[in-house]
Amino acid sequence: VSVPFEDRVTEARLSRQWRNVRDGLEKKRPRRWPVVLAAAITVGAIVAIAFAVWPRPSPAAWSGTAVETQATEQQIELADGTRVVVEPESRLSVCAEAGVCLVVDRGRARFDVTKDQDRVFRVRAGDVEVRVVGTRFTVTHRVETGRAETVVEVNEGVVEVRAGGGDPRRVSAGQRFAMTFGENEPPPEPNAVEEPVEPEPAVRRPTEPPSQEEADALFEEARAARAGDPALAAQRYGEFVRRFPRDPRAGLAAFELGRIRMDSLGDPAGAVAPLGRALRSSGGAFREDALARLVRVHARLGNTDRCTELRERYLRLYPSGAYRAAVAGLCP
Amino acid sequence: MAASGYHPVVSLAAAKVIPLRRERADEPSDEVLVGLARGGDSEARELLFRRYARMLNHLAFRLLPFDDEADDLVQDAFIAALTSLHRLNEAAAFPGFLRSIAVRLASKRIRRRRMLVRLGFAKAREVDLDLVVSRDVAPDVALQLRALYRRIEELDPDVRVAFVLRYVDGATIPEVAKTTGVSEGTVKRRIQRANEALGIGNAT
Repeated sequence: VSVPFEDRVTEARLSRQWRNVRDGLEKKRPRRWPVVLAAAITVGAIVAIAFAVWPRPSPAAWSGTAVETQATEQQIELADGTRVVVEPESRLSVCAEAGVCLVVDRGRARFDVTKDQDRVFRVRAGDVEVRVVGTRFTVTHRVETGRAETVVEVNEGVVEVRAGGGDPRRVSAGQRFAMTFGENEPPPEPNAVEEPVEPEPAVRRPTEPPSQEEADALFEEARAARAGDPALAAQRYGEFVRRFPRDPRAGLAAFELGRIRMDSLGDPAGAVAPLGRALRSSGGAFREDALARLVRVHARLGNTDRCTELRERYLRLYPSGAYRAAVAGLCP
Repeated sequence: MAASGYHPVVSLAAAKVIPLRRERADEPSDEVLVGLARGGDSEARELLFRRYARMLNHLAFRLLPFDDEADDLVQDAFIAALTSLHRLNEAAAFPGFLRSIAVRLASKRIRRRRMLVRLGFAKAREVDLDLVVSRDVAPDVALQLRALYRRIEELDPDVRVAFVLRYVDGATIPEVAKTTGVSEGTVKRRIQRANEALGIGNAT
C-alpha cells in the first residue's frame, strides 16, 4: 500500500541517509597540502600494512609494520573494503598472527570492518584483544606513567573482547568496554562495561510486530509510575526503549531511564548507557540535559578523561547552555 | 483542469503542510553548528543533518517523487552543503543554502533523466502519485492533484522547479528567486509559463 511521502521519512531512513552522507564526506574530505604531504610520507607504511594484511603469506615478515600519525589522521583501506582511521597522535601496527591482526599501540583508531565469516580480524591494545566479524568500533589506548587504559566503543554489530587472557565478553552496539591497568597490578577484571538499557533475550522468536497501542500503553505506564515507583518506571522505560527503538519517544524514554537511575535509584553507572542513547536520538529537546547529566555521571564515577571529553563537547555545542556554569566546574 | 475552473493554489493548500524547520530553543544554534562543522566536527555535521533532513526529504519528494531519487538527492545535497560551508557567508542562512543546492541538483537530475530517456538509455518512470498526494485530502481534490502532478512532470525542469517551490512548497516569489539563484522577474516568467502550460491562468 502506497503512503504519502511524509510517512516514508522514517528514523530508519534518516539514519541510512546519514550513514551515506557520512561516508560521502569521508571520501570528499578536502586534501590540504600538509595532509597530502603526510599521506605521501606514510603511504609506504600503508601499502605495507595492506599487503601484510591481504594476503599474508608470512605473518612474521610483516610483523611490526606501523602507521604513526602526528597532527592529522590517516585512513587505511584494506583490500576487502575494511577501513581504518588512525586518529592524530596515534600509532597502529601489524602483529604476527594468522588472519588480520592489528595493534593500537597508542592513541585511538576507528575501524569499519567488512563482514567476512572466513577470516579472523583482531585488534589488540595493551592486554585487551578485540575479535570481529563485521562491525564498526573504536579502540582507544592511553599509556601514562604507571597506568594504561584501553577503551573499546562499538557503533554497529558485536565484538568479542578478551582482557588479560580472561574469558571473552561480548560488547554490542552502543556499549563501551573500558579497562585500566596499573604498573604493578595483576590484570584486573574489566571495570566499565556500559550495558545496554536491558539485555536482549538469548533467543529471539519471530513474533508479531508490537502495535502502536502497546507502545502508547507502555509509555503511559512508565510515566504514571514515575512519581511513586521509580524502580517500576525505570523497568517500563527500559522495556519501551528495547521494544520500540524506532518510536519517536524512545529517546525521551532513554533519558527518563537515565534520570531515574541517576536521581532516584542511586545508580549513576547504570545511567550512562541510557543517557548515551538519549544523546544519539534525533528528537533533541532533552539532548542538552542528557549531555550535562553524562558529564555529572562520569565526574561522580571518577572517569576523568570521559568526563573531560564530554564537558568539552557540552561547552562547544552549548556555549550559552543552561548548565554551562555547572558543567564547566566539573572534572577539573 | 482549466475548463473545470479549478484553482490549484486553493486546492494545494488543502494538502498536508509539512513544517520546514524543526529547531528547538534548547538546541545548539545553526551558527554554532555551522562553525563547528566547518572545522570538520562530525557531531555538528550530524546535528545539522538531523535538524534539516526531514525538511529536505519533503522538498526532495516534491521535486523528484521517487524513493530512490529522493534519497540520492538528500544525500548529495547534504554532502555538497557540508563540504562547501566555506562559501556560506552567514551561518544562519544554512537551511536556505541547503535548499538552493538541493534545487540545483534536482534540476540537473531531471534534465539528465529526460536526456537519458530521449536517447533510449533509460525508461520513462511513472510518478507514484500516492506518494505525493496526501490520503487526508478530499477525493475530488486528490483527483485534481493527481492530474496536476502528471502535467507538472512534463514541464521544463526550471519551470517545474519554480512552480513546485511556489505552489507545492508554499515559498514566496522572493524565496523561490533566492533558492533558485535567479531574479524575481525570471521566477515570475517561469511560473507564468507553468501556468500557461497547465492551463490555469496567471496565479503568481
